[in-house]
Amino acid sequence: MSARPHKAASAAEPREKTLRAWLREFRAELIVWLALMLLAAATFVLAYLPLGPFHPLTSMGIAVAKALVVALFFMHLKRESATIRLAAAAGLVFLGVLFTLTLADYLSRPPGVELDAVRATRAQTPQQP
Amino acid sequence: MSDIPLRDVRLETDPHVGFETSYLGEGFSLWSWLTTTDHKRIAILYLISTTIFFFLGGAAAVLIRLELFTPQGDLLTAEAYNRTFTLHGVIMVWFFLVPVIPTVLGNFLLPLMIGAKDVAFPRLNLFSWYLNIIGGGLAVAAMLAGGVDTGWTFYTPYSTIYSNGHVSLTAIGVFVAGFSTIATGINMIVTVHTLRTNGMRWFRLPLFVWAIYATSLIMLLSTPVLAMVLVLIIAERLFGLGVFNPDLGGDPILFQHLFWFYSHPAVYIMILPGMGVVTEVITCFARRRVFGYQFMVYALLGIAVIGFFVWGHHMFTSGQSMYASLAFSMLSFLVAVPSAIKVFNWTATLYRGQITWEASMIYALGFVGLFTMGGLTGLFLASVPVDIHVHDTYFVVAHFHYIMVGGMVSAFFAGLHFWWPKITGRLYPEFVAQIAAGMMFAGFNLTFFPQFILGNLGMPRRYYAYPPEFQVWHVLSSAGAVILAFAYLLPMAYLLWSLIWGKRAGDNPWDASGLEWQTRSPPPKHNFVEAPFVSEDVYDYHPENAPRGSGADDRRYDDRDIAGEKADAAESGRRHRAAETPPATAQARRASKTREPSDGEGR
Amino acid sequence: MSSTVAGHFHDHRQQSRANTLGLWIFLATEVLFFGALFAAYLIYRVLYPQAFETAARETEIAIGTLNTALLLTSSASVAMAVKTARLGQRRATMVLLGVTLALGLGFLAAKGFEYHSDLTKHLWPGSADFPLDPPQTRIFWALYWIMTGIHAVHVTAGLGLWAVILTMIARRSFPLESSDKVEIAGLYWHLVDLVWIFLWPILYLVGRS
Repeated sequence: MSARPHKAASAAEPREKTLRAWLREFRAELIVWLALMLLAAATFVLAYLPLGPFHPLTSMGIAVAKALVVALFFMHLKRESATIRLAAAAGLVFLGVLFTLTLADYLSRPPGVELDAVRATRAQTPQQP
Repeated sequence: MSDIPLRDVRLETDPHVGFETSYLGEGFSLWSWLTTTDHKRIAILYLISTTIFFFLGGAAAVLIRLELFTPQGDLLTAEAYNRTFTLHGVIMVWFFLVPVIPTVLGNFLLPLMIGAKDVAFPRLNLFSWYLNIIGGGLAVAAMLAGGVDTGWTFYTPYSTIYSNGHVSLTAIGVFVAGFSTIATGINMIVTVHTLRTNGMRWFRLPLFVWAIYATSLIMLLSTPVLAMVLVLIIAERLFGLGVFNPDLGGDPILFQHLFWFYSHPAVYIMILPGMGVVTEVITCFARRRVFGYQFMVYALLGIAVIGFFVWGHHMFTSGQSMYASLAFSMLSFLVAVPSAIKVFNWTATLYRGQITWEASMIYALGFVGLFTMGGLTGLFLASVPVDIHVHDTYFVVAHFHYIMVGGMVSAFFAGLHFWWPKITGRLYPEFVAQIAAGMMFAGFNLTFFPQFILGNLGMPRRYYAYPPEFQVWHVLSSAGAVILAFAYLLPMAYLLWSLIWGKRAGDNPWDASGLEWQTRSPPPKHNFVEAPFVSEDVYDYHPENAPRGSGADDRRYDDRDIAGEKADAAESGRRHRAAETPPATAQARRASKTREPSDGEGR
Repeated sequence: MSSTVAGHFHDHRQQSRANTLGLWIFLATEVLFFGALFAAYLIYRVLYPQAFETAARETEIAIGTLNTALLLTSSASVAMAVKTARLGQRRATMVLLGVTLALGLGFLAAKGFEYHSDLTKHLWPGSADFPLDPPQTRIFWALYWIMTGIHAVHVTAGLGLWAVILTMIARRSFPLESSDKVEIAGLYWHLVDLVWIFLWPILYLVGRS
């Protein structure tokens, strides 16, 4: 944040500010925006490449990176207090608990009782609304 | 209590009384109550609404017990019975047990206890009450329109595909009430973080505040998941978006995972505030500092966190993977550790205490016993083989009623009696209250202990008729329910009576420590005339062997005498309290907690 | 609310701390709110990977990607608005919030077209002529409608918030520099963006290679 007297200048005659001045003022935001767009473009391209089982990994990895960028720079988590970072982390941590323990059930179901197989036989009827 | 004339003298001399009326005198119109943002008045609103819901749910319980008096289904049809116990469950869980202590006692006391003028977001607080009322109204409307027969758990696919009750409307009601809970949780946490008065460090917070804090954490982290699960049910019923529909490959067990991710922690929403209340009551009437304060804090937070890791123990027989069941079983045993710490510490607090038997103490001691019973039977249910034997029997019903009713409702009554003088400025009739407390304990055990036996004998829950050999236990249980019903009606009667004819309470009738007792009864609108300053650790009760302070009456003189000299003592960092005589010490410490001792009396 | 300190707060700093913390806690609850949906998605994706790829191929990737760009850009304009608001640059803040509103409305409009296109393809899992097989594809589409629907509700709420704040700034109803209104609403808006950052790859980019 520069020390120039923005308030008076911009409130009175904002059009006097040159494009260059605006770009300088929003340099950080524009860089972050550009990074986000590049990351989005990268996911998009990767989605069409034959990566097989790595698709979920790359797309989720990039999504996490984008989320981090938004949280740290746009939401200023980087300079918030420890309490607020804790609040932000709490939601994610307990979401992790939900994911992990629920997955623990599905991934350890005994083979043989294939849900898919059982259901395929009775799955032809559409649901009655 | 011959203090009535004395108090009136004080009223005339107290310079603040003229313009600082109590919160009750801020306005008398209905409108002034419905638009209030004062946390104390909102607490009263919640007290009224939760009481109504309690008696509504209680009426359903009476119907259930009447029906089960005989083996045949003679009072209700099977259909009506299903709707009755669903009404009982939905109303009691979401509109009584979950909100009652956080929103009534928590709302009233938490700002007082930390020396704040209000909660952080007063308008959000009022909004949460309206959400609660709207949610409750929708749920009750659904019940009146014909009811729901799914049980309070809304298990799919029954609730989504087969049930012809008003599931969607009920679910919307609970959804709305969930946001009321979230709003309360946000308010409480932010209040504790940002509005503690000077000197109120984290480890000087009363354990009731810690309990509400831990409860709010659970509310915030679990309720959103419930809300989403309800959305999924509604979407499936109304729009045919079948996420849990087995015909499409959907998995009803996934519903149970998501539902119990909320509903098991919700069990701790329903018990942690009770633990907080009981701690305050026991330490006061044993005249002893809480044993192991820091461990009590860690135990509260431990229960709150571990509570999120155990939900699968509700699903041992659901088709969940047995390995997951074992993991959940082991994690469930872990919760017993902090719970046991709490029970042991309450007991250790009582040890060598100067115990007196005020009604709230009887309720609190009842809580400890009943909670222990409920907790230990919970361990039976957490072990897979035993659970498979008693799954969905009356053993489970008895277990959670020991926690919910024996625990939480007892604790609520303990707290209501303990803080009634602070809330209303009036004393309730002690002897009648003691009888009511005793009746509640006896009636409760008579109602629910036979259900343990019934469950073990194989009586399944949620049936309106049963084989005749179970009748003796059901009759015992129903007889207990009658006593219990009287034990609930009695306090309602004498507490209302005390509003008009009760003796004036004085600021601190129990001679208790804590900031809420240092302001007037009932408190002024902004709680404290001067922002209090805390320089002592919490639970400042008499040292061992000291005679019990004789109550509010003579303390007023003490305060007046001591106020002057103690103002100096407060500055010069007194650490020599052992040298002083015990009663004076208690007063001195109390006086030194405010910069202006006793509202500037004696100036 | 922010221009003057409410009676129960000591000072402006305390009030601002309370507001920020309260909002962050609310965001944590939002994370778990959407999290339950993501959990359901995760489980079914693990159980039925083929069906999910088949189903996801039918989403409107062009509109989804356009919407990603719109929301990311709106997040940037909000971040700029937070900056100018703090400096008291009223006109610039209004322009930036206007851009945000326009981008958000664009998002909703595109979403409307997308929904229309989905419905003409009978991609409503409750309908009898749902075109895809196996039946598990209907679960994907049920999740698609619920996830994007609830997200759209959040976008709408955010736009309402911006509209109110923009009007208030236009009427000078609160002092811009000392208020945390723009910042608080901005945090909420960024969360809406964050949710979309995850919805986009799991709903639109699956099964494209």
